[in-house]
Amino acid sequence: MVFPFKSIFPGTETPKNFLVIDLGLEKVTASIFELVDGAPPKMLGVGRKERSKKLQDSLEGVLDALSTTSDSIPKKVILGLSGGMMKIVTTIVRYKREEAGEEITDKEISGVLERIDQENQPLKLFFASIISANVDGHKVLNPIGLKGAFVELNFFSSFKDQEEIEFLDNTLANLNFEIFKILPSAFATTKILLTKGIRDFLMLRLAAATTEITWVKNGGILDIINFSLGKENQDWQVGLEVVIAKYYKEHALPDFFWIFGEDGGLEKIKESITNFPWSKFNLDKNPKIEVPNFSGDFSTNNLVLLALSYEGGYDANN
Amino acid sequence: MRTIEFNEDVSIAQIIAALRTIPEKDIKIVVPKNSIFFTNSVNQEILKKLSADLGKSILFSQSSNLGFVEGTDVMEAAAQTESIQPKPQKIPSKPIKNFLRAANFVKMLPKKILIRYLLLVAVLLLLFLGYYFIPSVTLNLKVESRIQEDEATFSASPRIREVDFEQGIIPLESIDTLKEGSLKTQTSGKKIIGDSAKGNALIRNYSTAVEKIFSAGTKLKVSSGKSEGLEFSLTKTTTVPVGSASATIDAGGRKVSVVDPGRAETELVATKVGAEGNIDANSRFSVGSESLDTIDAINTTSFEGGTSKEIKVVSEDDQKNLLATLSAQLYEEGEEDLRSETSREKKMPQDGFKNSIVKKSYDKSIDSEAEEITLNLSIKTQGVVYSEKNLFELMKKYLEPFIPEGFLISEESKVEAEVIKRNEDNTITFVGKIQGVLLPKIDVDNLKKTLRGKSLSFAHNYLGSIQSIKSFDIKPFPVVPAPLARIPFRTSKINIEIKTQ
Repeated sequence: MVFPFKSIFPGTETPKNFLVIDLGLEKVTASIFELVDGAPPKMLGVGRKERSKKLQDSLEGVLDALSTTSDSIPKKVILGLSGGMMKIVTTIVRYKREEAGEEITDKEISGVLERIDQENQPLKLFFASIISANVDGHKVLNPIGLKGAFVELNFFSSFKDQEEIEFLDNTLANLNFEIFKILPSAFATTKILLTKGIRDFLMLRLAAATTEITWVKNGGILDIINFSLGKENQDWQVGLEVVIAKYYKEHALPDFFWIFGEDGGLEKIKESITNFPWSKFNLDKNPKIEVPNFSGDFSTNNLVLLALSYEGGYDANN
Repeated sequence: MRTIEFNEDVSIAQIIAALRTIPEKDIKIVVPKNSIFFTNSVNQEILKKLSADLGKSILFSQSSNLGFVEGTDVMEAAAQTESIQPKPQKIPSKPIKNFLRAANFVKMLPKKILIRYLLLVAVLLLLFLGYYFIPSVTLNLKVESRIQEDEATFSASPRIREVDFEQGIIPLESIDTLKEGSLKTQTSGKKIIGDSAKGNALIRNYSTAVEKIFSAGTKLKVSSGKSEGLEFSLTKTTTVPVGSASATIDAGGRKVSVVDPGRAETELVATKVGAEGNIDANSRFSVGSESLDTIDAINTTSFEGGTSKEIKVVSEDDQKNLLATLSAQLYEEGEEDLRSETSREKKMPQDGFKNSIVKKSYDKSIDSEAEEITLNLSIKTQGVVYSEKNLFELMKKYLEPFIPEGFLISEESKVEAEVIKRNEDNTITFVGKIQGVLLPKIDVDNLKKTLRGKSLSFAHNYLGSIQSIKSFDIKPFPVVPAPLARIPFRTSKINIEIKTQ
């Protein structure tokens, strides 16, 4: 399957009802959302199952749970991915356009993305987002439709093994679903947390035996890293230390941590982070640790679903 | 160098445990290529760091054969212990092959010996029956619980008797209490009372053309002297006639005109109480808005009767403060009364009260003279209660789709309700919160059937092999020597208690 990259451009047509599936670290969660003019997406039901080796079994279990809360399940899916092997690349592309008087098109951007895709083979690009764009020295949100000679595009792009992407596509196709958008769950979650006003942080998503750390620097994702120790493992802290050691010499360690779990139980982790000897990473005080809290129908357990649902066309900054 | 091989499903935690257990310093770790270990380099880095911290050196290698790994490694042995569930042992039976032959043998025995045999059989039978019916055992199993929290919006209605799981409504019961009380306080208002000074005065009209009529209440003010500005008023309507003019020629031959003003006697009263109004005779007054040149008044005698004193009266604030204090006290008492009616079964949602004033009476009205004022108040406090069991059942139903496989929601879970809206139809909308304690599922009946009649060592091994049981304690009754100790044959004598660790 070739992903059309259409998800990177704001204003893409969105279905009124859609399904959000989060392939979490150890759980699969799905929820039906309804989009009503300008309002945040409304959650109509949630299903949650352990993520087993047989993904289709997990998905069927989740859909069974959902079917008790809703008469019909939408066929369009926003799919969020966590854990497993995922490569994150931030690429700045600068080029001069021969036909400066002509508008930048969707096709032109797709061509740039195809080049990025090729450079990262044998991995497959499955999601890309323009973080910032500059046309003839003017900062723009969306370069499509603009004219100019000098273009600079800053992409956040995510790659996975091609077989894995095809497997996901086939599995959902077998269940008669159509992937409307596929992206790292951490990307969507980071976007929603940025609305809280903090631009440098580590986001820790914790499951029983798996952790995913998203390192956010100046509002952009530096990397998404996971390892196979979680909140129920006593050596969990070592994983955090290894990940921090990988980056802190080049990038100042943020002093703010967002943490959330796939099913609560974060007190031990908070204590563990608090008691960590941060001075060895040049932090002179303990980082501030917070569990994200949003008003409305969303509990922290549903944070990722909420974040993914906003990818269906709602702007969280509204 | 010690080599440890793991299968594809090995977790990092298991490898770490092995590193800690094995005494050798140099360790080679062999893992299949497709395990998470090789697909994620961070996992390898974690192991390198941990082994360095332990003072050990490790080497990673990919195993060539996929699937089950043979060997005598401790971790593998542990893994085998975890994966292999003990099978029930068969108790060898020894059937009597030829019953008739046995019967003939009995006939052949001498009587005394037969009696002894029968006694022996009876004793053995009693021992067997005792052995079968008397022993009991209590198995205390400790499992590791998980906590899963969630919340959702539901309703509660006084119009239903049973939980409506489809609509998410639980029954609601109304309770109320009437609280009465009285409270007395010192008054804080002040007021001046007394009598106004009064006396007679003469109003003079200097106009020779216009008669003046002043209605009762017309204000007069002292125009000069120490009482200047003091105000009085007419007690009755007074008509002052015109004055008369006359002229004479003086010694110098000049004409001198003289006006004799019209006069009317009347009565004045001070507009304020107090002795200040007791003014001396011959004080001059201005009358209404008239100019002193045309109209004035003079008191012919001094005014008398003006007195004053300050008294305490009931102020509006006195009543307000009494009401605020007493109602707050009665609200609290009422709410406490209703709270005392709640129990383990009947719970009150947070913010579940509604207070209203049924009767309110003060013994003194505002502005009346009094040293004290008393308020008598009756307050009705209404509350709603719900059955915690009902809420638990509803929340349990809601949480069920989200609980991991192999777990069930324990009765130890905590639920609570927080009212977010009281609706006009007497229903309430609330946020139900559950802190679900999830326990691993243990099939108690099956466990009893598996263990009945088995030796204690078998029970130890069997319970120890179940991963979800973290620790256990077997308490047999009566305590007998180890070879005879068994789990009772009757499952009703096996008591299993599951607790969280």
